[in-house]
This record gives sequence, C-alpha cells and structure tokens, in this order.
Amino acid sequence: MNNSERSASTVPELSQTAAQAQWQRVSPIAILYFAVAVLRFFVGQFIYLIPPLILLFNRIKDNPGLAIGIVSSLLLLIVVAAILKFYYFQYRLSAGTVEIRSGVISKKYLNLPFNRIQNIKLEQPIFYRPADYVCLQLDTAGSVHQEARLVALSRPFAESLKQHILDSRQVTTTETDNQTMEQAALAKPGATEQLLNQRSLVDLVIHGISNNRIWLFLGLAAPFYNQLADKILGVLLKAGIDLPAMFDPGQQSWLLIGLYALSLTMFIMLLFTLFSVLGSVLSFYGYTLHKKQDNYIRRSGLLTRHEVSMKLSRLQWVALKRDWLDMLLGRVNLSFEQINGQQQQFATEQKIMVPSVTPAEASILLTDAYPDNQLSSISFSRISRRFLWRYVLLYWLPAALISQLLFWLQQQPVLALLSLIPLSLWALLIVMRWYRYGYAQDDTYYYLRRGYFGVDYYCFAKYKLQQVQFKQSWLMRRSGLCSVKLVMASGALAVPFITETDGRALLEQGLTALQRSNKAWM
Amino acid sequence: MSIAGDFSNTQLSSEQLTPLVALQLEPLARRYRLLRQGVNAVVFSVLWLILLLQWLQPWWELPANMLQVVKHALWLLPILGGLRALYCWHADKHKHFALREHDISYSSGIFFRKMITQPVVRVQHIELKQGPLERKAALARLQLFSAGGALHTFEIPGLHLTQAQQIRQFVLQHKDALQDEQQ
Repeated sequence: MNNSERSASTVPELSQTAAQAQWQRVSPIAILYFAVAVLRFFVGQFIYLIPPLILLFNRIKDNPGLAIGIVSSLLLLIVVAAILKFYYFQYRLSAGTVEIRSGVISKKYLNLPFNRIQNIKLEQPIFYRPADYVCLQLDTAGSVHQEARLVALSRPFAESLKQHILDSRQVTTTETDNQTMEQAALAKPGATEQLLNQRSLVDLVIHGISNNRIWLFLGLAAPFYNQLADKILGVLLKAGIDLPAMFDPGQQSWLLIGLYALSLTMFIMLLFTLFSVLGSVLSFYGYTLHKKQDNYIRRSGLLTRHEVSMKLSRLQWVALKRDWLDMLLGRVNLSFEQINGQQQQFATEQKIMVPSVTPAEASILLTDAYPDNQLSSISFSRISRRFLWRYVLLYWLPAALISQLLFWLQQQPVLALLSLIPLSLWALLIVMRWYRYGYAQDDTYYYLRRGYFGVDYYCFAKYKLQQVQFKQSWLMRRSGLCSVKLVMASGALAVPFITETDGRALLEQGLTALQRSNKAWM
Repeated sequence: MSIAGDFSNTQLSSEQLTPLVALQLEPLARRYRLLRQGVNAVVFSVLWLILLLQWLQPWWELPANMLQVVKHALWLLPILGGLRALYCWHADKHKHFALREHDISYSSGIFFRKMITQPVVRVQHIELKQGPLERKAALARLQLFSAGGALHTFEIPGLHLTQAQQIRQFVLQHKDALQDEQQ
C-alpha cells in the first residue's frame, strides 16, 4: 500500500474523498486544443465542399469582401466555441475516481473509477511541445463513447497521475488474486522503465518502403486529383514535355509509348515510396518501446507524440507479419494486439506495433511477452492438399474455362492469352496460401502461420480463447478433414482443411487449458 | 498447479470427462420446428394469394409480359415454398445443443456442419429473446455474448422457455462465470 501513498503525495487531490474534492479547469492552452478539434470537425463535415469552392475560386476573387466576411466569422465561431468548450471542461480527482464535466450545449458527465481503466495514453500535439503539456486519454473496456480525455495537463502531473492509476489498478488486482500479488511484489523493486526496443531513422525508412502507407495520402488528396492533373500537365508543358502528345498513338510508335508508360509508372512508384517513407517517419519518429512492471509503453510521433501503454495481461496475441518486401529486406512487423471490440477503425490504436524489426529482435520481444513460447523451434503441421482442390475446382477452374471460352468465341486471341496472366497469378496465390498455412500447439500456446508471398505468424495463449468453432462439410467428413476457428478478443483465426483428429485436439486442448486456468482473459 | 488436481469437465448427465465428439446432443423444441413450418406456409400462401389476386382482378390490364411472369410465378411459388419447408424441416432437425460443466455447444447444418463451443467462463452477458410468435409458443432464443465480438455471438434458437431459463441460470451460477466483473 505504500505505493499508493507515495503517488498520492505527488498528486495531493488523490487522497481526498469525493466530497472534499474541488472541480478544476485544465490549463488555458487547452483552448488551442479545442480550436484544433473544432476546426477538424468543420473540415471533416464540409470536406466535400472544397472542390466546388476551388471551382468557384474566380468568383470569390471578384467578391473578396463576402469571402473575408465568411472566413473571419467562421474563425470567430471556432475561437468562441473553443473558449466555451474550455470554460465548461472541468475535472475532479478524488481517491479512486476521476470525474469529468464537459459540453457547452449538451452537457456530459463522466465518472470513471481508476480500476475500470484499461489503457492510458499520453498524446502530445505539436503545439503542446513548448510548454510540455500533454493530453491524457483514459480508455475503458466499454465503448469509445466512454473514453475520457483530460486535455491539457502538465507532463509531470500527468505522469504522476498515470502512475497512480496504474498502481491503484495493481492494488485492486492483488487483493483478489494471491498469485499476482507475489508477482507484483517481485516486480516492484524494478519499477523503473526498461527499454525493450527503439527504432532508428533507417528502420523507419525501411518500414516506409516495405509498408505502403500511401493509400492514406491518396485518400486525403482525392478531391484535388483533377486540379492536380491539370497543374502537373501545365508544369510539364512548360518544361517541354507534352504528355498527351507522348501518349497519342497517332504520333508515336507503340514501343515508345510503352517505354514512356513504364518510366512514368516507375516515377510515380518512386514518388509513392517517398510519401510512404514520409508517412512512416511522421508516425513512428523517435519510436521507443519500454516495459515498466508489466506494462508496455510505446512512444512515437514526429508532430503529435503518442504514448500508448498496455498491460501485459490485456495482450491477446502477438502477430509477426512479413510481406514479400519485408522478406527481401529481412524485417518483421511485430504487433501486440489486445481487445478489438466492434470498432474496427480504432483497431490501430488498440495495438502496439513495433515497425520493421529484425527477426532476432522480434524473437526477443516475443520471448519477453511469452517467456515459454516455442515459436522458433516448434514444427508446424501442413494443412491438407484438398485445400488446393477446393479452391481450384470450385473457383479457379470455372472462371478460367468461362473466360477462355468467351474470349475464343468472340475471336479475341490476344485477350485470351493476356487473361492467362491474372489466371496463373491467381493459381499461384492459391498454391502459396496452401503452402503458407501451418498450425502447431504446445501446452500453453497456439501457433499459427499463414500468408501468401509473405508470411504471418500468430502466437497466443490458449486460456485467452473466447469461443471455438468446428466446421465440416459433407465431403470433408468423408475424407476425415475439418476446419476450425479460434475466436479471440482481438479477432478470429481460422485453420482450414486439417485432419479431424488434429482439429478436435486443437479445440479440446484449448478448452481444457482455458477452463483449467482461472486466469482472466484481460 | 493445485487447481489442476480437482478439475473435471463432465457432461452434466454423466460422470466422466466427455470429449466434444462424444457429446449427447439434445434437439431443439419440436414446437420450434412446427412454428417455422407454420410461418413459412403463411408467408408463401400470402404471397401466392397476392399473385392470384393480380391474376384474377378485373380492374386494370397488366402488360402481356407481366402477365406471363405472374402466370409462371403462380406455379413456381408453391414449389419454392415446398422446397423451403423441406429444407427448414431438415435443417431444424440438425440443430442441436449440449451442455458440459464448463461450456455450451450448438451444432447445425445439413451439408456444412458447424459446431460452436462457448466456454461459460468467457461469457460477458446473456440475453433471452422472444418474438411475439415465440412468446405465444413459449419458445425463446438464448444469446451468449463474449469478447469475441458481435460476429461471434453464440445463439441457440428454439428452446423451451423454461429450458432457456435453466441454461441462463446455469451460466449465471457457474462458479467461474463473470469473474472478470469482480476484479
């Protein structure tokens, strides 16, 4: 208990009872935070208005008074809204709970006991940097609407509050479980943070190259495509390059056009890669992964610094993912995933990703989370060849026959030959999928391997299972095969076409391990 | 581990550890099958009657091709209804459930058999659902929610109401159930 006393002394409010505690406001710098939030809201709501506004630009230029009026009143609205939001945002700390009152028109009151808090995140937008303020985000296991944000706290205060919440959680669990108390007692002397991993700029560049984050940029730029294309064509024309003429078959030979197209594609790919590297650096700059008692803490970000912490017991599975480019570069993306819930769009925030580590580093990290795992030494069992037959006979062959028949009937031999390329790629994908599938288990863990050209490994503890499913079609039953699905809080993993005895063993042993261990899944 | 010593996972009726494959599956309520047949028959009869009215009504002239469609639908619909009734009858015959000490299983499917097993320890909350017709027939659907997400909600349809309530009680009183709540 001395632990909580110590923290309470650093945060005096925490020793008060709820009746004594005073409502207080956050630092005025939060006005900036709210202003940005309101601005984001506006942009998000009216993003589809931007292209017509750009089209109307000339009209606006003729009529600057009105435009200035609209813009300045909008700015005024944002500032007023931000100030009001700041004024009505109050919080109160007392022993064991945090309460938040917010909202200008629709009022919101949130009472969050510390022991219900799942995750604590610290976020530092770039404008909080100079005065070293942070935004403390408290997540509960419930819905997104239940999350609490204390928007502008000074960093030392936020850190000590965070520590206090983590400690109080520790105390409540030790009261219920003797085993964890012993562990906690063992862990207490080493309460300092232990650095598990950090990523250098080179690693991030590699991550950017191998993991295309470009789709994000492309999506954001979508409203500007037309204007952008016109602008680019104009600029190129000035530089003496006439793209439309280059690609006009009437003026150029096919070979030349092909060459141009190839070099243009290469150039665009290079551009994409550059953007992707930029994205990777933006989100993972200064990446560190620390371990403190049994919490993982991840810090990263160039503009907005994010700090995410996750308790080891919340971990649902560890995924080691490599796509083909990662295989070439010898890297692995490792992620610690926890409860996924129904909110797919928040999935990235719910996991701790370690970008582009080397296989050796990945193995160290995995061993740190699951000390007795055997991923590196265990031998995986293959799934049945019937997997191939099923996908080839059921989907590939009909598609291939029909497309060939159609093309030849319409006397399009070129198209028929060309269609062989995607068809053979598809066939290759089916074969690779079969080749990559593998499963294994030991007393504590399941191991699953899958992928196409790359390969993903999943390692998870059996007692974290939520539900199991056993599936068998009539044909599979005749050949003694089955498919199983293991449902976890972070998602479901299926193992298709394995022998019935293996499938039953996977499920049965998993259920036994789960029911025998009294450990909670989170 | 000391807990491992006194661990067992027997089917509730017998006294040995039962593997999933050897579970004695219990069928759903017979009334559930009859109810589904009834609903099916009523839906198709109503559709057929509407078509028949279209065919016989003297008020407006249907275009010739529409008339063709209606004519064919008039004999196709009963066949479809009959096939669906046959399918439902057999599908419902293949729906079973079984209870063990620590988990509940539900199996279904004629050609693609599927058995879902939900450990009781991982149940987050339970719902008993009854539509108006189910209420008339004293039937209930039992839904068990786990952290596996909405896609993996475990549901047993067509239980007798008393049976469903007993299972709910069994889950709630399970000694390990809802242990997360207490932490």
